Amino acid sequence: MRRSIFLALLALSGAAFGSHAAAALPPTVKIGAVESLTGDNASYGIPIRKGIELAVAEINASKMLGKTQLVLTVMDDKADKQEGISVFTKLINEEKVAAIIGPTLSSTAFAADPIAQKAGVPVIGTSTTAIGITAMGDHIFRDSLPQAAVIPGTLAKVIAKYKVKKAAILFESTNEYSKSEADVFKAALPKLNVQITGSESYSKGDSDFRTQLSKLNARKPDILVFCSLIGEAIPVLQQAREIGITQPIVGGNGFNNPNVLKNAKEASEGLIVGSSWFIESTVPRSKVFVEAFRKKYGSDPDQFAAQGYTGAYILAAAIKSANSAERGAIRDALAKVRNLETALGTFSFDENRDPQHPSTPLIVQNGRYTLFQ
Amino acid sequence: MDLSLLSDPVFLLQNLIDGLSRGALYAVYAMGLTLIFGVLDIINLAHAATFMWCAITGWLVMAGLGLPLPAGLLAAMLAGACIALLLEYVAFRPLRREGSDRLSTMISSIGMSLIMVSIAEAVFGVETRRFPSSVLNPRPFHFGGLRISPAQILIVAASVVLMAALGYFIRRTRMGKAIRAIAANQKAARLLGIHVEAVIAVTFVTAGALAGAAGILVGLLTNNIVPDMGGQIQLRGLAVVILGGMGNMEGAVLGGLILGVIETFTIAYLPGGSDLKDAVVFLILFLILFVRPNGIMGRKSAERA
Amino acid sequence: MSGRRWLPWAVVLPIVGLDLFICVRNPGDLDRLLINMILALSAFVTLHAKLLSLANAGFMAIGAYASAIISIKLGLPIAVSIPAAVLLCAGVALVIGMPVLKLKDVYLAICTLGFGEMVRVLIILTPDLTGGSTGANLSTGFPYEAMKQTRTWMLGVLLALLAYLFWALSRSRIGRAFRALRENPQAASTMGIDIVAYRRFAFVLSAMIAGVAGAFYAHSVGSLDNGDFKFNRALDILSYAVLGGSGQWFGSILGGGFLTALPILLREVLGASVGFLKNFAQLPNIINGLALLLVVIFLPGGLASVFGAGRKRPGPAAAGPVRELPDPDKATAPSEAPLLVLEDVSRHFGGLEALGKVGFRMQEGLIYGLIGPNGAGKTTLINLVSGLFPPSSGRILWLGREIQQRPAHRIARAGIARTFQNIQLFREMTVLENVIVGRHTHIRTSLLSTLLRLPREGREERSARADALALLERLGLAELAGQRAGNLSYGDQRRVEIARALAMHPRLLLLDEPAAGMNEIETRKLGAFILELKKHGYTLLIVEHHMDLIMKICDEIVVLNFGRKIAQGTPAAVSRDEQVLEAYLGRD
Repeated sequence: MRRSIFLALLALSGAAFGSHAAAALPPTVKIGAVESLTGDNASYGIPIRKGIELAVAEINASKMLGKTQLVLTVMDDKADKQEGISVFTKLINEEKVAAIIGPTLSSTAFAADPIAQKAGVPVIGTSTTAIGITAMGDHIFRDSLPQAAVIPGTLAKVIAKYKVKKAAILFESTNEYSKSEADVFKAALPKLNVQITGSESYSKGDSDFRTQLSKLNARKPDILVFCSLIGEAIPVLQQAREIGITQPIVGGNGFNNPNVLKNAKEASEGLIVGSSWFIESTVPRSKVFVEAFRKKYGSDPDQFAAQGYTGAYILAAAIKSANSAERGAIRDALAKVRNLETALGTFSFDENRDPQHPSTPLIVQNGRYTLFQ
Repeated sequence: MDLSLLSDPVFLLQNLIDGLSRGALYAVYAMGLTLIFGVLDIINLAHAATFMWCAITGWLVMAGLGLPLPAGLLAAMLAGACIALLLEYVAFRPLRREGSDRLSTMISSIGMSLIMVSIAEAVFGVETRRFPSSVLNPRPFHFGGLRISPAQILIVAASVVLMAALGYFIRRTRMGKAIRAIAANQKAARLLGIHVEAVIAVTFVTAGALAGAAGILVGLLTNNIVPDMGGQIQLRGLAVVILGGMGNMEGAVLGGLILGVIETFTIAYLPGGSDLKDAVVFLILFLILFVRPNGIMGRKSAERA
Repeated sequence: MSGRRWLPWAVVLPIVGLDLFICVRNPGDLDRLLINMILALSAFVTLHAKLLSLANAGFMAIGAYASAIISIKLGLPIAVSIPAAVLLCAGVALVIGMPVLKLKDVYLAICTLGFGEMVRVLIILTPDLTGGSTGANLSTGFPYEAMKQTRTWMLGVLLALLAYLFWALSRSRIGRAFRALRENPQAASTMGIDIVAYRRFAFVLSAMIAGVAGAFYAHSVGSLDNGDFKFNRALDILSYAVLGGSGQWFGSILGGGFLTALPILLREVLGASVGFLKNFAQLPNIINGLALLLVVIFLPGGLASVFGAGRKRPGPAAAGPVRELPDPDKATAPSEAPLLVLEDVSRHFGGLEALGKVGFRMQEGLIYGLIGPNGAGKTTLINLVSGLFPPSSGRILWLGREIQQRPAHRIARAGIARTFQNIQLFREMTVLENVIVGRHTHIRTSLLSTLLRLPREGREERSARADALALLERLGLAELAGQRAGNLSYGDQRRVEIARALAMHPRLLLLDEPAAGMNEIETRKLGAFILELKKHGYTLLIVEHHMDLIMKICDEIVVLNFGRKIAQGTPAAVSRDEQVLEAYLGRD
């Protein structure tokens, strides 16, 4: 039943773009995906890949592009810039893909995306959130909401509800994602009349955060803000609760991950995360996605899988609307994406090719992510 | 500099507690390294990978099979012993027959470490795991504004027990004497009828068991078991071994405690300390080596570079 | 070994083939291949000098960031920023090299590791300069177009230049000094090779090469962040050099090429197949680890050792007229003043007194014997005079100047040469090369003329070679010139050591048990030879147990027992001395 609704929605959205009767699409369109499948960041790259593969399978099965099938080539960038450059070049020159989804890390993107830009190949990032990604060129898009779009809204709600006057921040200093996330928090908090009583950091690989946490808590902040990647997020949460931090904790994006709930258990109760997607989202496309993901992979998707899945659908929609496998045409169609119904909600690219879709602050209650009111 | 924090005695004591427990971890880790180095003149850079596999073994036993902490600890120490023995047979023994130098053994251990970590990543993936909270009560004890968690108590207790046990083993048992003989002069020991290969195997088994204990303790304290977990502690462990004087067991323990306290105090009191702590640790290492090239407690030897 | 001529080719061809395959298939991989080969060379330099340095990742980072900052923030062209970055690396290497290089191998490894981590910390702590943890990229003021300045052909040229540099160095006295240093630093220092200076040279050169590789990395990738230079990279670089072999520079290039090409090959072969990739993705790391392990155990010389010695083996000695023995170098004319004076020299090892207040004088042109029971301190005395370690107290005067605190290489340069009781030849080098090392202090060519292969350098090398050959002829060892020194018989090895020491044209020659293991005939020949040396103006101090030899040829004999001098005088006088007899024969 769900499936047919989904297919109907699909067909409708296809219609929304206005179908061109004449099929100018070749029988196959090659697209590439470059993700970190090994190394520390594989915990992002692998879910993204799963999301993309699920989407492509659905797109092909539902014949969203008519008789045309998408051929997906997935490559591992190993979170290494040179490897990223290498696989981008290979996909562009050898495989001659029409577009690339990825890479996983912003740092890889800074080295690899310009190559696609130069070759006129559109790129859709599904996890690259650093400042300056889309500024690299008019062929570079992303569907991953930068922290600066998500955080202020979440913070406003938190501050109102808990009457926050003082806040303390802990973040990873060796990682551009966490560091810039922390910077966004540090900029947003004073604007909301909150005093930052302390800011501590740790390096990649650290596993004992008690000292930093005690130091932050000594000033008695009303809330604590943590900007961590998933690996450290869990112990940070656990140790915070262990040393007696009872105040509300606001987590950065790294905390929006089912593994946090699974491993941190009680420690994650009451955690607040500003997110671009969550698993209980009532967006129809999202429900379909979650069910299909669980069925195919036997586990829960996370935000990154959702973004990857959406990225593939956005690309397919653009291909369909351009009715062409030609790189330039796809790029133009991407730039025109407005109000597309996706698993992330109603999605548009703004004039800088950055994503626009509603974000949701979440709070963990009874071991589940729920909407934070 | 945060003056109010500086004058807070509770904060100071808390940091001392945290620092000592962190340091005790380093000490247990370093004991295994020091043993191998002191006896065999080998820098075992695969100690970290061994330690990581032991932690994973503990996780398999406690989270997978649901067994309690003592079982997990035993399993981890057994695993460590086996892995260390494997290392000896595969990576170190073949080099001994050729009479190769320290460089070769270091490189050989680096190779094994790469292989071990990669296999762990391939089999277990990169997600972080933790021991189930049922194995050890995570709630800390509070008294007078200070807090100390059961894990921290266990670590300090374990390090004391292990050091005492190891000391007794080395000093009072026959095997311990044989180990000391080999450490002094392998050739002579052989001539005295000591079965050198067997004693070396025992040395590795002991060091491996120590790595196993360290793996469980770190897992309990940090709740972050991941194939990469050896990286940070490896650097610290090596620094401790050097600080304490290569091959000196008491020095290793002392060095570990000192390092743990320095690291904690750097984070707590130095502005921006958490970024600087790695640099501070190494700076202190450089300085000590500059002044005392044989470590804090190392003997002065005529042999220099 | 000679039957396996095909072995080198079986090794080289697949590697070269792999690398070519990359170049043709995907130009995007070519930059990486060349950069890694250059990095392999930087690791080779320190490995060759037996320094386990893991600092290369740190220097690579310095080179990368320095060049990026200079070219972008200062707006200078890369022709300026890259050399500047390299010079900065050299400077840093000099500074940290001073304390660090004095440490033993494992301390060195850890300190260099620590250095790498500190560089990363520094990068993160200076965000205005380096972009901090967000990296050097567009958003932090390092625009891509401005960064991407280098072309692949530049890397090719750089690699070729470096290959030439290494080729020229390895054929020169510098290369020879390194080979000597590798094998036996102690012996090398007694030939006048300044171990510390050479190690520092290796460290700085390695830093410079890593720095230039880093600079090119920055400009070819177009963006940087501190994660590019982690500990793992230092290990990767090390593995290139280990695989290649620490003996030959071209091995490292092969090693770097192979370990870079292999994961790429795997990627091409395994493709992007869906299920596969997850499980095989760790394969390159496992292969790296295996390469390190297997090479170190089964092929300790690395890939390069498959090619055998690789160096041009000196041909058989040209038959010619037997040349005269060389004269010792005398900066000042011989005089009545003593050549060497020991004043109250003592040496303790822990609680043990090896030498206690020993004093005597040596006149130029005489042969002195130093005898005493085992453990009397004879070799300790030789070691003191030759500068292996200083005395605990007392003075040693050479031509009137104090030398007891001088290091061995400076004493060698001052004109004192020695042989060793337990033969310290450079076993892997040929006999001829061993002796040519003795000419080290006399070959006066600068680094520049070595690199440019100026005619002067060739002349000096040829002349050194001729001198060495002549010495070998004089000692009856000419046919063995091309043999590996370690293959020789005991007696022959002793004579090679003497030839090597003589090659220094020393004003004073210290022989430690030269006749050990020789039979009567050989001993007599040795005696005759030593007398000839005396005729040529050499001064000798000989430690010996062969009493007949000593009594026959020495002008004066010093007798030690339990570290103290108990007698000194002519052979006749000493042989009748009560105390000497007691020391040797014991009391009744």
